[in-house]
Amino acid sequence: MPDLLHVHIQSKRYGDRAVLQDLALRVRAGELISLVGASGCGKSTLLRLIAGLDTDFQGDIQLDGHAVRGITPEIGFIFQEARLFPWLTVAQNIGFDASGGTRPDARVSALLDEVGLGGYEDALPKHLSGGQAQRVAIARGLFRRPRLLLLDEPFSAVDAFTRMKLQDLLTRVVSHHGVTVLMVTHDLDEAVVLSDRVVVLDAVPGPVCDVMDIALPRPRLRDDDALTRTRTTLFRRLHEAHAL
Amino acid sequence: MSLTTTSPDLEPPLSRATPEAANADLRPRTRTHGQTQRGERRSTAWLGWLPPVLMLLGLEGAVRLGWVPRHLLPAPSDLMLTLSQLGHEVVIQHVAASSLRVLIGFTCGASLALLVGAAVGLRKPLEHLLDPSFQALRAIPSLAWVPLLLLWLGIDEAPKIVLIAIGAFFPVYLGVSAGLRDVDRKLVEVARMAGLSSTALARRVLFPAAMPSIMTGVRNGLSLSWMFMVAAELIAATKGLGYLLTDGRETGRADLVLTAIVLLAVLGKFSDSALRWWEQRLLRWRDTFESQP
Repeated sequence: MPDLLHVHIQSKRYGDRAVLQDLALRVRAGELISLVGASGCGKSTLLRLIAGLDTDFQGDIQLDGHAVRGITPEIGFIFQEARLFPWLTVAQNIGFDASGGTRPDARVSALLDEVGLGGYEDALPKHLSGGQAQRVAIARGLFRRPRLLLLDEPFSAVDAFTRMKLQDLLTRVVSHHGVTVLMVTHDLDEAVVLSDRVVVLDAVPGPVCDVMDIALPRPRLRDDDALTRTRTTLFRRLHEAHAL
Repeated sequence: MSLTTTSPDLEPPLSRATPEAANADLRPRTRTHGQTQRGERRSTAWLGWLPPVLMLLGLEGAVRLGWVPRHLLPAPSDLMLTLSQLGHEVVIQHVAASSLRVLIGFTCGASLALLVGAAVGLRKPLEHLLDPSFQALRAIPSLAWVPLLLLWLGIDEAPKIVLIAIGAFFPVYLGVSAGLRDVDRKLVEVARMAGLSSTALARRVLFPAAMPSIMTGVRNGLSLSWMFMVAAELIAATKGLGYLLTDGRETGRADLVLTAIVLLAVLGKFSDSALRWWEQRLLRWRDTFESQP
């Protein structure tokens, strides 16, 4: 498969402290990649650079062969918190884009159905549970048809059962929309269940520490022994890489 | 560590979960708790009438029994008498004069504050340029302006309107500038990812997010406008509630003073309730204890 994203960060600093250094990453089209690594190793920073939220770095980022610097509609972002605008309805939140129109959109309803929240168009965010809010955030992330979707620990704030449901939902919508995904996670189970590849970042700024292919067939069942073995392998490799 | 070691009924694999369980997080939040709260609130709302009614009854009794000298603290019934003696038209004339001044002064001051506050809240250099000066001006007591305004603008309507506008300006300015400054960075990032221009960002994200703070500023501004109105009318006026206060003092009529005070209380409460009603409609989306359905 062709590469969709090329990232090469020479250096990203916060003041005197280097956060990322000589880091290169390739993401193939249609792939789902998890980024794991110790807290503070720069995973979230890397996502923010790719998203264009932070342009203060040395290096270059190419999407489909074209350099990107700054925010582009081709790259979407789903944050750790749902970050819905509390004064807008669910439908308005999903359809929130640069056009500024609040017209009822058939796509919004279709997306809501897809994330299992059909009929919630006019609900306000304050009436949603954490899991529901994150479903809306996923629908919003897909609304602008991004080619690459970045997720920053998207399910870390919900309970374990809701997390599993949301993971399954993500797998479903990602394959349906054919979007490429780069996701930061702390959860090894999540990384194994969802990803095609797991990229391990070093705690010290530097090149990618390790890349592990998750060659398990889909759909992946959580009680599959192969899954458990893969998870154990990932755990050991993380341990060897001192990334834990 | 692995999922398979835990009991299967505790952690059902998702692919095999029943549809009902899979939709557990789709159920709307239960509202029973909120409903009881609402019921309690409805049943206790009348309590607000208790202190004024008890106070009025107590006062009436105390005056009638001769515990308090009537010429210093007239009974509520005396105030009603004063009100009717003044006559319908005269009372309305005073109330209208004061209200009109407040309305004009408040509108001017609040509109200006909205513009300046927005500029300061949206542009960091402007904040550095203007905010310290405004903070210093804000500290000046209302009465200190009066001699200056009289010197500059005479004793006509102009100094009164300007004084009221000054009173309204600072709370609104503070509400707008602080509200815009304190907008959650996280929401701004979402808007930036959506590709909003800076004007669209201000209109569609920053102002809505700052609205609670702006509305608090507007309500404080209105209540200060009423205060500054009295200060303005105490100096030089021929009608208005402030004039009624001065008149009562000069003629030694406590009943007149108290009537004016009661009218001020009623007007202030009425205008604030109207704003509060508007605020609650505008900010229905807020997830606060108060607004829980």
